[in-house]
Amino acid sequence: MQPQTAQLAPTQNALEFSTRFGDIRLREDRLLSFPHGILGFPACTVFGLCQMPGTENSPIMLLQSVNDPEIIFLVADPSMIGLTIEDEEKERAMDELKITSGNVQFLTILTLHSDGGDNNHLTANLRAPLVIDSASREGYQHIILNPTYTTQHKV
Amino acid sequence: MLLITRREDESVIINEQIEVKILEVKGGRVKLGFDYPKGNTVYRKELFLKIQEENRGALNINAESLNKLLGQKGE
Repeated sequence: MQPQTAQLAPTQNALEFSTRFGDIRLREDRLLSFPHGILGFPACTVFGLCQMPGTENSPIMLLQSVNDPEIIFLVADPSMIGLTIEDEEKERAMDELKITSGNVQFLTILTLHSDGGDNNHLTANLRAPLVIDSASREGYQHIILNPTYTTQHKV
Repeated sequence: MLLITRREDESVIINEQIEVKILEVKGGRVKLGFDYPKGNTVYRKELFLKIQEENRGALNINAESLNKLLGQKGE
């Protein structure tokens, strides 16, 4: 059961994407604006966030670009996968991004390392978390300057 | 590329609001100071490129490998 789909009333407009992880529906009124895109993808300024299809309680979510259907990231709340971004760093990020709302979500982009066989593991990019202001529905990729945060934390 | 020669303690102003100051020139290294309004970002280029690279790598996720991994973890 996907929370977004579950809440979807027939009158609400949704965008449908066929992803390699399954079919997803993104409510148009819940899309996120990334004014600066994501680093390396400046043209991808609108995304939708949803549960991984076929999972109920997985902390892993999908961040689908609306601009380019090929661009889809696996993301997770770091605290749900055993990782921490210290409050001090969160405050610094919000300060830099001029976010004053208390309703901010930090997400980390996941990378899958695979040898093509059974040896697969995920890493989380804590160095450059996504900071999402739920009030304005805007998101930014913020780079943490503290080098103890790396781009590949083992999950 | 615009070229400007500066000495220690001299600055340049970008867009009338960003100041880049040469704080120290010593042994082949230059220490720069930045004054800029909130909402702007300044990063070392290597770090910027590394994050871009990591983002690109994050797109190459094979659904089958992921399912295998999540299956192993019992999800």
